Amino acid sequence: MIAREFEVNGARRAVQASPMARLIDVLRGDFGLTAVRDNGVPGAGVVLVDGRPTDSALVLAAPLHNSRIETVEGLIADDPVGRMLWREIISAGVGCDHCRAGLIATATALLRITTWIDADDARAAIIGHQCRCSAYESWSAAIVAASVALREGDDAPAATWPAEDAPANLLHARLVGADYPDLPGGARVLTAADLALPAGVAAVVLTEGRAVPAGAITPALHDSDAQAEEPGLLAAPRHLQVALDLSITCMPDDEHPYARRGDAAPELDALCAALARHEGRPVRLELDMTQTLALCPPEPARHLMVDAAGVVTATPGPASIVDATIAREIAFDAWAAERGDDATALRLSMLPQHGAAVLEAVGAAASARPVDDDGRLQQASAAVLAGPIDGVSVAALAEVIIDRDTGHVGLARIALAMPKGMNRVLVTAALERGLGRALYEDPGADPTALRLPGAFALPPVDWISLPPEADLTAETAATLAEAACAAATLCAVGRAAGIRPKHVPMTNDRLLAAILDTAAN
Amino acid sequence: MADQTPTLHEPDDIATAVARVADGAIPVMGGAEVAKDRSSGKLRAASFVSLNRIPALDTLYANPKVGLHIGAGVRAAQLLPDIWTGKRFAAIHEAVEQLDLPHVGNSATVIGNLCAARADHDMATALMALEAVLDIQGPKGTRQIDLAVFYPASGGTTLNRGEIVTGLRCPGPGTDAGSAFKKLDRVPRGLAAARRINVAATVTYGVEREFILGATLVLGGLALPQRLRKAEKIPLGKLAAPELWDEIARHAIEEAQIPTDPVLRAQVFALIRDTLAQANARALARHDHFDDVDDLLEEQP
Repeated sequence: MIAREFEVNGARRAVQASPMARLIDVLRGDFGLTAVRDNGVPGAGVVLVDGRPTDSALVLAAPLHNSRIETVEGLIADDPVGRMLWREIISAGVGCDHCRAGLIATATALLRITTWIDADDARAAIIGHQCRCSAYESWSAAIVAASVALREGDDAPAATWPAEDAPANLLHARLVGADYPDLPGGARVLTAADLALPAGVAAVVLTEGRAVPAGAITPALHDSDAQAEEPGLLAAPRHLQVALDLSITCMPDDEHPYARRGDAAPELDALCAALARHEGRPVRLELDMTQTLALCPPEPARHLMVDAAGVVTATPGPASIVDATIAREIAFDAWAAERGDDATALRLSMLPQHGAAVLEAVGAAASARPVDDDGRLQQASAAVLAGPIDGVSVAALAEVIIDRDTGHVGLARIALAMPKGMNRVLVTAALERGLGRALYEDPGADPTALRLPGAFALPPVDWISLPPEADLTAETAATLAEAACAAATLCAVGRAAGIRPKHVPMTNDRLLAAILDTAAN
Repeated sequence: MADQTPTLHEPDDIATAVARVADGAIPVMGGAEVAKDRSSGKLRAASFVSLNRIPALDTLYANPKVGLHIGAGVRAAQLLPDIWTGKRFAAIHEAVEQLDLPHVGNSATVIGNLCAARADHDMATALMALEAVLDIQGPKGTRQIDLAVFYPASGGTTLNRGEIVTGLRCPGPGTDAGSAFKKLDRVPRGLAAARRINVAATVTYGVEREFILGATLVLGGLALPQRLRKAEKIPLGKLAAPELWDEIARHAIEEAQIPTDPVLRAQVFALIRDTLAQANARALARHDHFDDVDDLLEEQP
């Protein structure tokens, strides 16, 4: 052990530490400053070392002898910039305890340099952070709001970092797998290998002895209206979250895509059999297809509950709705292209009046056109409809620019038409998740290695407010927005590249392969 | 974690540090690589030697007439506000600017990044294109080694037991020279690309700014960085043109023995071509030769 001293949040602190102790080990273990996390999420361990953002999980403590360390606990209590950031972040309801500590530290460093910033400056500053909710637009807006308040000489009250037992979220467990120590209610993570699950099932999150609110499934929704209005919606002795593999190959081209109906995925039968073996008792599968029928999903269910009688019920989760929308809308675009029709016009002609009005609100899509002289960069847009769920639909228009030489996709614009009154933070986060689903993230892949959108993934969003829908919950709104963004992005990529996306996510490798394949044929 | 309690030596002079390293200690400056290994449970060494108390290892000096000097204690982020690094050693500036996690640059040193000898690190590619030479101190004294031969084909580095890299030097660029660094899937950041590919290049013109006098080209990411010397000779004495970059890229792919995967080859091709074009544009954009000398008179290393 070696003796080290630091100035931690304004106070001199001495410690006898292992020479190889990281700064986060000293902060959490010796000083009880537990806001920083070592959970594999980039940026979650960031503190200020001599004023510079530094990941405490990626730096040794010993070389920092006599350094000035500032953690979020001190920043939101004693620092005027940190206090202002905390006020704006809390009032905007952005982030959770997994990312807030590091993001506030980095944003504090930025605003100490200058308060004359815009949203792009804020995004650039937090680019090394990952927000599992993908709420980067909300983060940058909150940082800009804090900068404005500081410029105007405003001051915010001191705050205290929440205690350790703040709500955790289950989806995060997917990110870090079995190493994650903070699952609520004694939950544990089982892998496909634990249950001898069939191929295609990547992971199961199993919670025991505690009611799991609906919002807990999706971290962006853990503060949502849905949770407040419907606590214990999924209350059950056990709740399973299942990630299934998916490839979009099942749409026959000769059938009207909006008329398709979903079939139970064979993986679900196999899952129930595996679950029965694990439980040592028979289980029975009951699918509630009422919502998925309207969406013609290739795989209808994600969330399963096992009750005390051993009955498994499945309801469509956000992931299945997103995947189903992607499949439907890509199939529709291909179907229209084969008929030689404009896809948007065809959609408008076939949709019921409500859906057509929603789709029309996002504006007209444009076919592919070159951006540069040699045609390497191609731009196109697509407008799609997500839903209906409970009679409500959401439409999105995505405009992309693709690089035909590298397969890189850039999003130039998103327009979203949805009922007004929805929580903008939740919907923005949902848009970014939709983009991640379309281009980067494969929920069926290794759950410890998810690819997530970065802070610059989402372009400016044109918000188009439609008359409010009384029955639309925040969770449904977010799911529909995510689905619409994902489907519109993929359809636009397909148009720009002159290909039909057959797999999600459409990574740059997959897109370039499809472009090369088309050129060769 | 190591099986036994690790020890940390903190000498005040380089000779003592070299002696410790000769005894098997691992040199540590920023500690980012060690911390990363510790987080992943890969740390096995039991003895470490900190270089933080050794004076003069934190030197950072850049001038187009003198060159670039980076000491072993220089954190990557220190390069970003340096104006000459940005203007005349743009390749390394871009590599640091594009770190997936920018805050790592506040703790990770440039030399530590090179010595880690990992294919997914970017700075070695850029510095190899800038023809960096490493200053090495060991039990037998000091020596210099070209970064291009620092990474043997068998992996690791060519450091001998007991040797420490104390810094690196890049020669000053020619009067009309430009450099560039690019990597695939840079945006959006925070994403690990299915394949990390990076390329760095320099292009140098003669005084008439018409024919190319020199070029360097380095490919990294797929493996440890590799200087493509045969491809570098193709543009010599020629006029810049898109067709020339295409020709160099085609030859470079063969020289680097890129696998036959058409997607990978297409991406490497585009990256090489774009990087050369960017370096060439910077070389031709130079017009403030006198600035180099003016600043030199005011700031001596």
